[in-house]
Parts: sequence; structure tokens; C-alpha cells
Amino acid sequence: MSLLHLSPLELPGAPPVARAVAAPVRRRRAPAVVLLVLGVLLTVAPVAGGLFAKAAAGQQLVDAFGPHLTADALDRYDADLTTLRNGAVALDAVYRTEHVEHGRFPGLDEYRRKATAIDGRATGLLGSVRAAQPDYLRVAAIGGFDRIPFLVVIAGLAMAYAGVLLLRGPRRRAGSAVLIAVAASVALIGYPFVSDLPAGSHAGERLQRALAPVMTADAVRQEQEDFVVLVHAVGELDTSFGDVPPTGRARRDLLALVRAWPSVSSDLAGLIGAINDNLANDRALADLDDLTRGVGVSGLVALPWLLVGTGVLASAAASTAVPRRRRERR
Amino acid sequence: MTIRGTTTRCLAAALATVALLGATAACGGKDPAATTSRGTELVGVLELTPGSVEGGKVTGTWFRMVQVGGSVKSGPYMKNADSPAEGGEVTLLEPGASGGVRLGGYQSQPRPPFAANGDSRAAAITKPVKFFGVRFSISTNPTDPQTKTQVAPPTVYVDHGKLVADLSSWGVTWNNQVFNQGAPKPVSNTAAKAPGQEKAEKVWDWVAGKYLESAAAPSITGRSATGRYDAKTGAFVLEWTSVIEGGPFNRFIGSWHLEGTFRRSGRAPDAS
Repeated sequence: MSLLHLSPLELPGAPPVARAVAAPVRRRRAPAVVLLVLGVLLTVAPVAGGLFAKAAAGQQLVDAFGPHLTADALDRYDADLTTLRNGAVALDAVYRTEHVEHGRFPGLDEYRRKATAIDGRATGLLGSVRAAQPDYLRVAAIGGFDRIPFLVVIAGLAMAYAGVLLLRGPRRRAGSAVLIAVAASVALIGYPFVSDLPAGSHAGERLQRALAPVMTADAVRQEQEDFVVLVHAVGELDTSFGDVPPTGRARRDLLALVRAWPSVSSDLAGLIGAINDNLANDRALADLDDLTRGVGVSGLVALPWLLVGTGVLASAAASTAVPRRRRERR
Repeated sequence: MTIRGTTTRCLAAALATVALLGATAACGGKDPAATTSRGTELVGVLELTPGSVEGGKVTGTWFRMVQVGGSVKSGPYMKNADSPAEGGEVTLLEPGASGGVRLGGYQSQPRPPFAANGDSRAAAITKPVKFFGVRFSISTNPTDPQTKTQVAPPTVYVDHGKLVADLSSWGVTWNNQVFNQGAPKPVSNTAAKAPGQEKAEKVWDWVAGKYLESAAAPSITGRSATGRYDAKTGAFVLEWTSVIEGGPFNRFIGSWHLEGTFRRSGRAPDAS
């Protein structure tokens, strides 16, 4: 009897089970970091640079000068100057024809001495104001100038949030983070064009430079001195000078000055008051303009393009921050 | 049982008495002449004596304005050609419709405050008087028209015949311009503010006051008006100087002299 002997069967090894492996989702760190950095800068810079106060000062200055830069107001100021000029000429004529002795009317004597200089200064002031009117109107047309810092900070917060979300948040929220960043970018890019900021800020820079000689404490002090000379002179014209009997055109012009004085003095006082009360606002606006002077650019002129540039950079970063799957190798 | 009932009735009567006293005090309102560390408050009207010149000396109620850089004692003063006193360097004032200054209440400027030619229309404290061709006058307002600061009504305390007054609400209107001429001076509230900043500051002040026990920033600064008072006759003199801050007459100084008789009366209803 033979026994069937079975030799051990050598089976080939089983092939490995092939499983489909999902391509890894790669987080793009660089765009997210760019968004985060831009966001922090946009949030911190306006606060650290005092942009809120400076923009508010600019807006207050614009509002304060509104009533003084209307066509009516400028025409009225011109008429006031003509009245004062005619009055000064008439006074000279009366002094000559009536042989008014020096010292009898000290206020009028002083006015006669200073009338030419006062007229020159007042003409210069009104000339500056009138020349600045077109630029003023462009600046005034900027919508919500004092709200620009809020736009910048809110956009910055949105970008910073999007950046953090892209870096650390769940992958499913990456899409919404990108949308937030894009929305903030669109706001920064769109606002300057919607509000006509580029033209307005150019005009603002020119306005600031044109009014700089007028907007000083010394200029206000000089205007106050001129006002005091005028007020004393007209006071004497209205009272004690009545003893001197001027006639003809000189009489008419002096009477016109006395009658117009309440209106003239109200106009002068209002304008001097607006200048004096906005010296600090003008300095704040000048500071804003000087923010980028270090790189040879006016801060006011650069402002809209900074917004646009930041918006473009942020939108580019956002568009490349969308998480994508790696392609499978064949 | 009887003792308990008596006790209950006595307790009820005591409580009713206390309640009645409390109610009476509440109905009576504020003490018209409250006494504090600053002295006794005068509540009523400072009736003004009209300004006049007698024997070359100015008496009664008057005002003068010092030019920028000048001093109250030596000038140079603005020469108001419409005033006969001291060559125009002093402008005489006359009591207005209320007879003078109401203490503990406001005498606000009318609306509109100016006539078409710039004359002031406020006529309660003093009659509008010509100042360089245009009439000026005085009013006291809860919110000072120039500084936009909330201020107290005119308040005067007397201590051993000496007066100390808060006249921070003293405002002058002239030729479409408003100037605070008070003493002490209101701290200006006109600086540029970002949108919403004012409300945020109010909220912060409230929070700081309630939870941080921090005092709100002072709304007035500088010296008070001072003077003297004769309790027997009611005669008073009140004087102060006030620098104009802001506007066309920035840094000009107003010098004020009120003289007259104090008439006691009830507290103004809008003062509390």
C-alpha cells in the first residue's frame, strides 16, 4: 500500500489590494499670509496714524467753509470790498476838501494811514478764497470723506479674518473666507471711483496748498487788527464825524459805508471766525497730506490709489488662496 | 390683645406720619436757598442797575472789551463809538424784560437769535445795546451756542457777604456771531469728531462713571465770577473777565461789572 503523499502547495503571493487614495488638499499659505498681513495693516494703520481724527477734521473744515464759498457769498464779499474801497477814497477826499486836522478823529486817521494795506490784504484774502472755490467744490463733492477710515478698518478686519480662516480654519470654510476677502477688496477698489475720490483728493491737495498762507494764526491776527481799525473808523464816521459836512459823491460813499457796515462786519467776522476756528483742522489735513511726503507723494493724492492698490493686491491674494486638489500622477 | 392692637395702631400712625412728611418734602421741591460748602445759594433774580456816568465815574452795570494782547487794567480797549462812557471804552447796559439775571434758571436766546441786520434779539437780561453799529445782548442757554457744551444755569453762592458765581452759560450775541463770555469758561466741545465718536464718548462716560467710579471730564474751567453782597439791602456787585476763545474775536477779553439788587424768588421750573 502506498500512501498518497501530498506535497505542500506553493501558491503565489496575493497581489496588494489597490485602493483609490484621494489627492491631498494643499493649503496655500502664502496668499493667506498676505491677506492676514494686509488685514492687520489696514486695521492698525488708520488708528495708529490718527486717520479718524484727520479725516473728521477735513470734513469739518469743508463743512465750515461751505457758506463762505457759495457764489452769493463771494459776490457779497466783493461788494463789501468795493464799499470799503469807495469809503476810503471818499474819506480822503473829505479830509482834503474840509481840511480836517489830524488828531480830531483818531480812528479815521488810522484808517486813512492803513486803508491801502488793509485793502491789499483783504483783496489778497478774497482772491485766495475765490481762486480756491472750484477745488473746494470738488472736495465737497467727495461722499463721506470722514467715513474712509471706517471703510479701511472694516476691510482690514475682513481680510485678517479671511487670512486666519484660510490658515487655520476648517477646509470647508475656505470658499467663504475667499469670498469675504474679495468683497473687502471690491469695496476698497470701488469706493474711490464711486465717490470720485481721485479728483477730489487732487483738488484737496491743491486747496490745502492754496489756502496755506491764509490759514495761519498770524494771518488771523492781522485780519483782527484790520477789523479793529475798520470798526473804530466806521464808529467815528457814524457818530462824531457827522459834524463834518461832506457833500456830493464823497457823502454818498461814506453814508453807503456806514449803512452797509452791519452787513460788511458780519461778513468779515464770519469769514475770520471760520478761518480761526479751522486752523487746527487745516493742520490735521496738512498732516494727512504729509503722511507720504517721505516718498515724494502727497498723502491726499496717494490716498485713493493706496486703497485701489491694496484692494487689487488683496483680491489677487484671495483668488490664489482657493484650496485646490493636487493632480493625480498617471 | 388690647396691648397688641394699641401697638399696631401707634406703629401705623408713626409710619403714616413719616410717609406724610416725606410726601410733603417731595411736593415742596428743592430748598430754594440750599447751603453747601460754597455758602448759601441765592435763588431769585439779580436785578440790574442801569449803567450810567455820574461825575465822570461809571456806575451800575457795564461791559468793556480789551483788544488782543491788552490787559484788563490798562487796555487797549475797543472804543465803542455808540457809547458815551469813557470815550466809548465802556458800554453801559440796561436791565432787560426780566429785570436782570435769573439765578438757577436759563434765559435762553430767542429763535431766531438775530434780526435781519444782525441785531441781537435777546432782551430778557439786558436790553440790546449798540456796539459798533449793531446791537448786542446776553442770554444764558443750557447748551452754550459757541462751545456746544452743556452748562449750568447762573448760580450764585454767598458766604459772609462774598459772592462766588458760576456764570459759564453767559453768552453774547452780536451781528450773527455768538461768544461765550462766561466765568468759569465752558470747555469747548467743537473739535472735529469722527462719525459716532460723540455717542461713543457718552457711552464711555456713563460706563466709566457707573462701573469704574471715574469722574467725567470737567465741562468748565477757570475762575468763577466774584463779588460782594449786602444781605440787609440785597445790594450786590458781581465782576469777572472772560477771554473769547475762537471765532473772529479770538483772544479778546470781556470785562463785566454787574450791579444791582438781589430779589429772592422761587427756583425756575426748568432749572432742575
